[in-house]
Amino acid sequence: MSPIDTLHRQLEVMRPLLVRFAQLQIRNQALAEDAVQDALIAVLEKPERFNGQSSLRTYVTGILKYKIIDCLRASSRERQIDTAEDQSEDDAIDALFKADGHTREQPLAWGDPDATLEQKDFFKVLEICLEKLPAKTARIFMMREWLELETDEICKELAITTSNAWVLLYRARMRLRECLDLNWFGNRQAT
Amino acid sequence: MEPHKTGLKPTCREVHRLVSEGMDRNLSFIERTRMRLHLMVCDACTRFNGQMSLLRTAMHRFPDDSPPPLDDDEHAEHPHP
Repeated sequence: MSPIDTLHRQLEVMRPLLVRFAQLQIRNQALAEDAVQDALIAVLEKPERFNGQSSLRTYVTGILKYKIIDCLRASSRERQIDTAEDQSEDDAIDALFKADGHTREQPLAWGDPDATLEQKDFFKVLEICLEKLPAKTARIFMMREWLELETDEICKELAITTSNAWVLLYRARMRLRECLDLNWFGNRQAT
Repeated sequence: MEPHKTGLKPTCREVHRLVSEGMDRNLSFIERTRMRLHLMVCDACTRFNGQMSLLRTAMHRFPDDSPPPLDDDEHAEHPHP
């Protein structure tokens, strides 16, 4: 099998995973598949650019991020998000604090980050937690933390104010923390 | 202004929010100072701060860069028509 065939085969194996990640961000299956397709074609057109220093998946993911940003910019109408105050979200955060502003429960110690991130299953749980976020919250969180866009740019793309963005990002982080506590760190502490 | 933001000492509620916003914007000198002083004496917020930085590191690494499954599996055949 020639190197290009092998590469082709490896990319095909990766495709479903990449589509899932793209969907977390784009939330439209057809557009997500297009972005992945574009990324895979970009890799296959210039296979010599992949120098093997990172894993193939890291390399393809890097290209996919650019394709997703392109896609987001191209479809700005669909990205306008409704930032109407969601009272239940604020209530959920309020419930974590006592009236005097102290936390009701001591946050769990998550332990050594390196040890955590070496565990493959951690990323599966993280992915599940990301999928559980409300769509608009997930979208802005992924733009900020996965695509690593600056807040100003996110606000421009989504036509929201900076304070909206900070609130949505805070909610996303609080929800993810809760989900990881329940599904990863809490379980491990109990054992 | 909400009562929990006006006190001389910041509360956990305020510091949680500042920890998150500090990841998205430059905090003012006063905000930074209030947050740091609070973190020195508060285990709960220090843990929260650690959780947030783990989350950020994880997202920058997401998905994890373990080798694709076929790399060490020479025998697997996945014929595509």
